[in-house]
Parts: sequence; C-alpha cells; structure tokens
Amino acid sequence: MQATWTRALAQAAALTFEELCFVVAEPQPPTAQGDVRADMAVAVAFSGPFAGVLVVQLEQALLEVLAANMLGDEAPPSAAQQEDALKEIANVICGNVLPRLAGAEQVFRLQAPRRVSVALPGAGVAEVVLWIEGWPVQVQLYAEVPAAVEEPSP
Amino acid sequence: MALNVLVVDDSAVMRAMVIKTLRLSGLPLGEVHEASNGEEALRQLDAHWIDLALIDLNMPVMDGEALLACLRRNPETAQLPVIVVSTEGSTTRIEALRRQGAAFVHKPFTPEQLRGVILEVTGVADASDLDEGLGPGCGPDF
Repeated sequence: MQATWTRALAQAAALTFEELCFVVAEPQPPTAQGDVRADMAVAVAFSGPFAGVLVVQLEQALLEVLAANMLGDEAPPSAAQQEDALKEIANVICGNVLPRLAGAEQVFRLQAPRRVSVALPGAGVAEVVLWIEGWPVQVQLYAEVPAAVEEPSP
Repeated sequence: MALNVLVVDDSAVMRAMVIKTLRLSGLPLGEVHEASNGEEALRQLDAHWIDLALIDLNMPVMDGEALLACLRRNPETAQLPVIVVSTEGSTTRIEALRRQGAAFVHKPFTPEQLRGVILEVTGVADASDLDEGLGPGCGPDF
C-alpha cells in the first residue's frame, strides 16, 4: 500500500506545484542526503472514508518564490501572503491526493489549513520529497486507514 | 456590457489568482468584489449588482455549499451564474453542485481552463474573440 500512496502523493504534489505555482517539482535526486530543513509547515486535517492529516514543509526561501509566482506581482509577497500561499498549496495537494487514494466518488471533508510545528513525531503512511529550483519540499500524509480501504494483498 | 464579478475564497492569495485570471481573460469586466466566506458573500450580493460568482467550497463561517443553497433559494439570485472553484475531487459532491446549476473548476486550474468555463457560463463572447487577451504561454506570467 505504501508505494501506491507515495506515488499518488508525489503525483498530486507535482501537479499542484506545476499548475498552482508554475514551477517544476522533481523527485528527490539520488545525491540528496539528510533531512529536509524546514522553516514553515502547514497541515490540513481531513475526514471521510478515512481520516488523517497532510503536512507540507519547506524552507522560507522556496516559499517566497512560490508565493511570488502565485501572486505574479512585482512586489515581494508579505509574510502573511507567504503563509496563505503555503496553506493553499497544502489544501490543493490534499484535495487532489484523496480521490486518487479512495476513489473519485468518495466524499472527504477538509478542515482549514493551519500552521504546525515543523517537527512532527512519528512516521506518516506516505512521504515524498520533491525538489524545486534546488530547494526541497516535503509532503507527508498521516492517516488511519480502515482495512476496507487498504489494497488487497497480491 | 461589463460583468460585475464576486470572488469568494478564504485564501487571499487564491482570490488574487482568480482575479488576475479574470483580468487576463479578455472578459468585459466591471466591478470585482471579494469575500472570504459565504456570509461576507451574501453581504456583498446585498450591496452590489453581481453578474457572476466564483466560489470556493471549504471556507469558515459559511461554506460554499451553504452559500450556493442560499443563492438558489433567493428569487433574486436563483439564476445567478455560479462557478465553484475548489479542490473537491468527489464526483458525488460535484454532481450535487451541478444539479444546483453551478459549473465547476478544479484546483489547481490553468488560466485557460478557468477562462473556458467562464465563457461557457456567461456566454458573453465567443472564445475566438478573446484569444488576444489570454493567449498561449500566459501561465508563467500569472
């Protein structure tokens, strides 16, 4: 199950960064090492066929680029705009990955995105690191998945 | 005739993106109003003449589904063209929105996708008349 979820998470995240932020997000290069350094993290909690939380975390410098691209203004985005941009990014990734995992007919309720600590305990059921213009961005999915939703054994 | 538009989304950044797309679309825009939730949207609708509403679903205070239901119950707004712009991926919910007469644009959207639905919903101009307004390659200039 984990590989399927990780692939779906990577696809939803890459699509979001491409179409919402106008940047190309690539999978973690083989040379990359160590943990992702993150200055800000945002979480979106959801409920439905299964419940959980999606977390996006990245460095300040990358967030400035993403927010500027989204707004398309000459002026650099304010701190509030940057946080709002990250919340929208997380919201869109979450809304796009859930139908890929549970099926398009399933209904999920997403809560408003909120800032969280960058250090979350425990491991998610899926986690991807994508690289955008030299900076990493980490997307983690934490979920309590009922057996009925899990993939059958091969 | 210029279109007065109401953009409803709790994200100020997303409202800015939608409004920028509207301005690039070549549509004859009049006043553009903003609201960050359904209740604010209803107040804007009371205060201004609106020809088209673009609304998010997941918002605090009053969400987009409740707002759409209010609009359809009110004879003055029952026929208002509405486009739901949302991350919603459930075909069940999207069909329910369509049954209430709302068009749907999925986030993330390209400027071309949003423009296409706006043209379809408003019918204000033939798309070929607007090609100079939002041509290929407008995405990175968003």
